[in-house]
Amino acid sequence: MRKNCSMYCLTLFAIILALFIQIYAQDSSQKYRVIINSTNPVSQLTREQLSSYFLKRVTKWSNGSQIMPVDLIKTSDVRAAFSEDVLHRRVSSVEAYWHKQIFSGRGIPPAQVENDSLVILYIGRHPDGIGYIDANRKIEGLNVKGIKVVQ
Amino acid sequence: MLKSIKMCFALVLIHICSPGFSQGLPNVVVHGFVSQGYLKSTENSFLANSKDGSFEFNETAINFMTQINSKLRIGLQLFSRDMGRESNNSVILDWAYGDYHWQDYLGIRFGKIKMPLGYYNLVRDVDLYRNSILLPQGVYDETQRDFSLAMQGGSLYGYVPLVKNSTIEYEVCIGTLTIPDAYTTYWNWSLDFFTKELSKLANSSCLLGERNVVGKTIWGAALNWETPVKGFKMGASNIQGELLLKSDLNLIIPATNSSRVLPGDVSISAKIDKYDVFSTEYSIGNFVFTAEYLELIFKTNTSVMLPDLFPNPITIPITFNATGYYGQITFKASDKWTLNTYYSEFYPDKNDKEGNQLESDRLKYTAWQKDLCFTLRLDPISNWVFKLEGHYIDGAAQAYRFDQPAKRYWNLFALKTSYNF
Repeated sequence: MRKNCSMYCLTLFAIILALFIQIYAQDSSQKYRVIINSTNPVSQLTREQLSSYFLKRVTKWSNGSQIMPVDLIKTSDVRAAFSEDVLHRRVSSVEAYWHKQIFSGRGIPPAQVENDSLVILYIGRHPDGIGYIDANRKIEGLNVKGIKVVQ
Repeated sequence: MLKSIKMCFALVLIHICSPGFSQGLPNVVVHGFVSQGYLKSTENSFLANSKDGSFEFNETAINFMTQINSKLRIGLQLFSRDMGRESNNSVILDWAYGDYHWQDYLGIRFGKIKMPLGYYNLVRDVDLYRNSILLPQGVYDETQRDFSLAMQGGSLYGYVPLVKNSTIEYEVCIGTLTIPDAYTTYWNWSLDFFTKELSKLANSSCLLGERNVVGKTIWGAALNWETPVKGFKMGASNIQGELLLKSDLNLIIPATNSSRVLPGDVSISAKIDKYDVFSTEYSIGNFVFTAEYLELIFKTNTSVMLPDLFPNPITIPITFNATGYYGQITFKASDKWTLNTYYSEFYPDKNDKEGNQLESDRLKYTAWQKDLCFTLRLDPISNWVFKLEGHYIDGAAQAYRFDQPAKRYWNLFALKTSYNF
């Protein structure tokens, strides 16, 4: 009887946990657009490549030049969408990752700017820069180009 | 040590203040944090005088890093902590090294570097990084933190993408273990244990003099694998090395008219034969599940030189084979609120988990420490964290190093706030 009760409680707990996971495991819709300098020949990147660039695990473009990622500030919705879709982490987890890098001396996080205009300005000035902006933001004639993000 | 800290600090300041600093030379990035905590326990004091409630629980750090060129970065961190009777806010050079990132798959670090061990050892003093206030003591034993904290030497590291979106990160290091303090709870406890035995044997009292602890060669390796399963990663790390503690010793033998003092010395050489941590983590949605397992084999040889009493040195070999593990669930309820819980177990003797082989004067429940912990974390604004934590603990394997005789069942409460920039 006691064993049955324990099994019942355990099953109930597993179901509740699974429901929570289902509810909270949300997909991030494509709210962002990844941009690079218009002189950069790259036309598409996988999510894994992007993730390794923004976490600074991979630091060089295929031509050997230094990748210069730029992030939006922590409170940005676009950053939240990018983080969940590409880095598979919430912004707070990414911040924790950078705390670990900073306070163990392992790395310096990407530059952070306040809005899309500053991201565009940064990428325009840095040929090796890469960033992301609101998907609806117009970028024609701004020395930057959008690239395709593939699986 | 203090001299080298001052010198490094002065160099950084000179660099920051130099006229060239604002004229295109590499920027120095400055980060830091400050934390203040409070500990209160029932029955047993742990880490500090927690039975009475203690604020002797803080950490402060400031670091400076600069990217010299696309491959070379240098930096240093000054660190201060207070944890009960330990450290007392003395400032130490936590790490200071150059990092030459030749390729993504191969880089080299040289200088004083933190040792990679499990998911938390690199940043075990950084409150912001974790959700709990105290790390699970089953794996991150606070009383033995110095054995795995930092070393002077070098390491090779790299990041290698594998098939199907999985990646490997590795680091192998070798150097000399740096031990900042010879007066920590672990050494106090080891020497107390020994001097009590010697006092009983010689029917006299022991007085210990100046202590010195030096690290010898240490090496380690860490491997982290992000598996093809999204959010699932695994890791393994290992440290091996040696250290030596020396202390003067005076044996005072009571006599009718005046006491007789026999001078000598005591040394404890400790060999870390195995310090392995296996780790795994799975993140899904707002949940993170973490588990780690520790196995530690620590061989000590305590030698006593008392030529007036014993013509030959007395040597007492002891092997510690400790083990511990924990499972942790973190739930990010919102951007501001996080709930964390873990269950951790620690056994100082892997082969005697019930305490059946302990000496007759040792309480059985000092053979284990089982800890159920709940934490509520609040991030009210960017860079500022508040935490509230409660522990329900069975056993006193670690607590009895602080408080004797320790009780079996006890609670520990902690509050902490941290700010970083």
